Amino acid sequence: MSLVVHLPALLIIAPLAGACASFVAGRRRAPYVALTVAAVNGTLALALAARVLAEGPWRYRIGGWGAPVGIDLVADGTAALFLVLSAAVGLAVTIYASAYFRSSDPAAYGHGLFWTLWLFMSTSLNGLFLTGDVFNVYVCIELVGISAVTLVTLSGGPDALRAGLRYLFASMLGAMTYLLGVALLYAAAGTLDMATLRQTLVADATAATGLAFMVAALVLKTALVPAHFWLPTAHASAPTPVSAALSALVVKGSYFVILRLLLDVAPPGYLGGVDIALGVLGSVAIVWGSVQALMQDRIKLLVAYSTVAQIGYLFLVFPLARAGGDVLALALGGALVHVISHGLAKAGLFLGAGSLITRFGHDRIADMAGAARALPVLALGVSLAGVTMMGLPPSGGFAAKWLLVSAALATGQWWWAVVLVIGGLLAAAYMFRLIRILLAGGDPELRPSASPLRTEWVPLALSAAAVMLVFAVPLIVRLAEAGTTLLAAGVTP
Amino acid sequence: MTVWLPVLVPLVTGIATFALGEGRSKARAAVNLAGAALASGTVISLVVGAYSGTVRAGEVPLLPGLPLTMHGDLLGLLFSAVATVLWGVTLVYAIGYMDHARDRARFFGFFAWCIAAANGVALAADPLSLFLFYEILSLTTYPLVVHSGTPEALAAGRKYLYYALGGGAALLIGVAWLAAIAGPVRFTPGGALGALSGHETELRVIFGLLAGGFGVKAALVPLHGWLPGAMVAPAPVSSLLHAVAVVKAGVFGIIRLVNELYGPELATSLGVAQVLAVVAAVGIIFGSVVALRQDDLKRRLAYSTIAQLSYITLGTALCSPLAAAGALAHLAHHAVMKITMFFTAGSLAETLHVKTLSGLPGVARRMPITMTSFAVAAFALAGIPPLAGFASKWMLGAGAAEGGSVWALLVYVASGALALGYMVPILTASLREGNQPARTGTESDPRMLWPIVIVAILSVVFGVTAGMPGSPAHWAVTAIAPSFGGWTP
Repeated sequence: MSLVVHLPALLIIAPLAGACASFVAGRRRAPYVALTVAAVNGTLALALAARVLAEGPWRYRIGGWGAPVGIDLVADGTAALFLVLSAAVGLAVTIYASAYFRSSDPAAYGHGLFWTLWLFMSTSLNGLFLTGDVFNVYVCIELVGISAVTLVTLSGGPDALRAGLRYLFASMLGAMTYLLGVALLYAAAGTLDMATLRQTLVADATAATGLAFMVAALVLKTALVPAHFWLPTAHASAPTPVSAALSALVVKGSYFVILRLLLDVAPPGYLGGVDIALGVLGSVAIVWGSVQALMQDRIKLLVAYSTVAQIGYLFLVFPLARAGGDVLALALGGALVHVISHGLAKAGLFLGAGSLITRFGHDRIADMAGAARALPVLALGVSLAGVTMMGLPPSGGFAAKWLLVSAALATGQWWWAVVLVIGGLLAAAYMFRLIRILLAGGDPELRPSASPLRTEWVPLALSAAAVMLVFAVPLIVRLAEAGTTLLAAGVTP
Repeated sequence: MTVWLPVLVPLVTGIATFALGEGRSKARAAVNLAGAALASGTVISLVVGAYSGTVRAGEVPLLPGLPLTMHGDLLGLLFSAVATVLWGVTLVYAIGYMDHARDRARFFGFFAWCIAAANGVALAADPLSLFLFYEILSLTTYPLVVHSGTPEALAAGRKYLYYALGGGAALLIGVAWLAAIAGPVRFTPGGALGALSGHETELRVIFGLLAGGFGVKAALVPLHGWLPGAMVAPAPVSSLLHAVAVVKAGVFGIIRLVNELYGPELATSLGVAQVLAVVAAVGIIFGSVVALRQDDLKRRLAYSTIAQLSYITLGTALCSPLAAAGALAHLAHHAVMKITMFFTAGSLAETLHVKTLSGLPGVARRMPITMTSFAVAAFALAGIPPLAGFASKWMLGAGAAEGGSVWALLVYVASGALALGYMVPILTASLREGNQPARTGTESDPRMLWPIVIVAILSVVFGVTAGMPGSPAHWAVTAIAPSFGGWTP
């Protein structure tokens, strides 16, 4: 019996053990615990992805009980992709945070509580990606939400508390609505296991209502326009490593569940025109978020509104997926490539923005002229992240845009292609507004304050990875194909 | 593998330049010159192979069913050779020109990356790969346009971006649409879309999107607005990028589009080539007339570039073999002629702070070698035999007549006269008596003087040797022939 089949459980146990250890270890030693966990987590996630690629997806029965009595974990391609992204961004954020928090006042981040909360959030995210059961989704989403809200308010400032309260409200509302949906679905279908649901779900008003509640709750959690009201302030006022994790990972967590519900569990068209409505809202998000980003004077708010816009792309997959077959593969591949490239690039952008704020001592975009000369590594990191936000080649963002545009044109739904192209141009508008100030002349004697090297190189590494992702597209597409087969066939080893 | 080197070598050179940082200027110069020499060497070895019939190709998986493909065919290698060899010459000039400038690591790094992208455009074997490198070229040029960081440069950069990204968006839709109806296609001499029928209207729209996308960099009127403004960039950028690599990437895209994607036959039967020809003809006359009225030297040259690029587009759009070959030859000939002129303008601005025609009097006496080189290039551009411009214009004109487009021949003749009209005033003004300070030592930094002489000599050599194998004109004929079913002049 090889250890490999236990990978899904290990991916939950390892960060959970780390969270406990970091609490015991205390403020000084906690970063080392977190770094160790991040390294282990990355290894486990890669191993899981490799096994899915080699042998296909599998179900893992905790304690050998199995559904419907026990709890099943599902390790498939889609889950593997999200896990790898989470591990990669997690590692980068951990390295960055070890420098970020060292320089600031211990009280400003709850005396080391950051590490425990952060590892706890990683645990819940891993659980969310692995669970095969709609109720456990609720549990994981609540845990992610609670740790995320607490992380936002770590600094304790009035802005952070106000943003945190708003975030808490959205998070609670979302969780309650989701739970209500689960109850309705259970009443109608009699099971909570996703694979069983997929085989037994029939047209039924109660079940459909339940599913609709669940999707609505997740849309709120993913901050799709018009449910984005909580995101910009929460992501912008959190400590920088937290901002990066929230924008890159947490919103993707709820999106992952929407993918599961609408593409794996429910038959196509089960919720009527909901998929088209999501596409329309996604298009509105792209335009609205970009226009808002264009009008921000503070760098972290620009980045946060960019997230509102980029989330919009993710929802174009639903109307395109209706066509099924090759087009579904193209569209799903595009969405997944976008999840990963945006995750990497947005983490890079937030961390880069945070470093710029630390080095300049303020967050006004207009006063950051000359950064390209004084801080070339940071400027390059931010610019490369911009390339993938704009969807320009060579970058993961470009590959995602290409796949979605191809899917749209292949089904004759050219209007989505137009939205995608306009979105790219708008992203160029807000990103170049930042980049051109970094390249502007500025004060030739500018001497920003000193800071550890990793606060410059980590953002660059993330952005460069997002750019190089274009060469990993065949691999991602293969993993995506290994994703939809599991629930379809209800595979049990 | 070899076919990737013209891209990889400048790419690595750029990375090394960034890694070396701002301080180590000697090492930076050495790395860049070595990179240019190595890249030129690889291009030449590819050319030798292609002439003897072995076209090297390569591909890496990229998007599902659409790999990134490259091939070293004669057509692409002509552009690649022009960009790479002139990169080396421009580097020498730039090292002199930027001697006391700031941010040189950033400058030379992005400069190298631009060449990598231009070589990618040249050697890409399918529309998607070409589009990819075309967009990278836009992005890597931007930091060079705004290099000085002044408000004027930033404004020019913003305008450049509007045009470049707008063109890129048109290209993206065009390429994706083509892939949706035709599947994966490779550039094939004579056209790759032969089997498509029943899609005529779509093909016309796609041609418009692609030609519009390439037309931005090719400064096709009315998409030319960015070019004069972008001249605020440092002189080496204007010289190499705005006379050679960037704008030529646009016309080169049009050449691939007409000859090897649609093919002359399909482009003519769809009626799109004729439309493109008319637009290009308007551009020739417009650019030449506007150039007549510019006092700013670089702006005058920029409008001349707009006209000359449209020469190439018109020659390609006529779909007559000799004109198409002339267009390709003019791509190389115009590069050496115009780069001489931009080098000169940069030397005048840097050494004597002369930037306008009204400041020219006395310059010829002060900088005789520089101005003689300029005169050679100016006469070549106006098409005086036996200089380079004459050879390509002869091919263009004769091809136009051969293809029955007498109106195009008249456009070429008229614009030749106009070229004299906007070039001769520069020469006469510089010969006039003026109050330039007396000379001390050499007329300018030798690193800026010799490159000018070299490219001026090339403007003569390319013309004189036009009939011989290996010359750009002969090369162009060989490269274009397969698109017209093995035609020979």
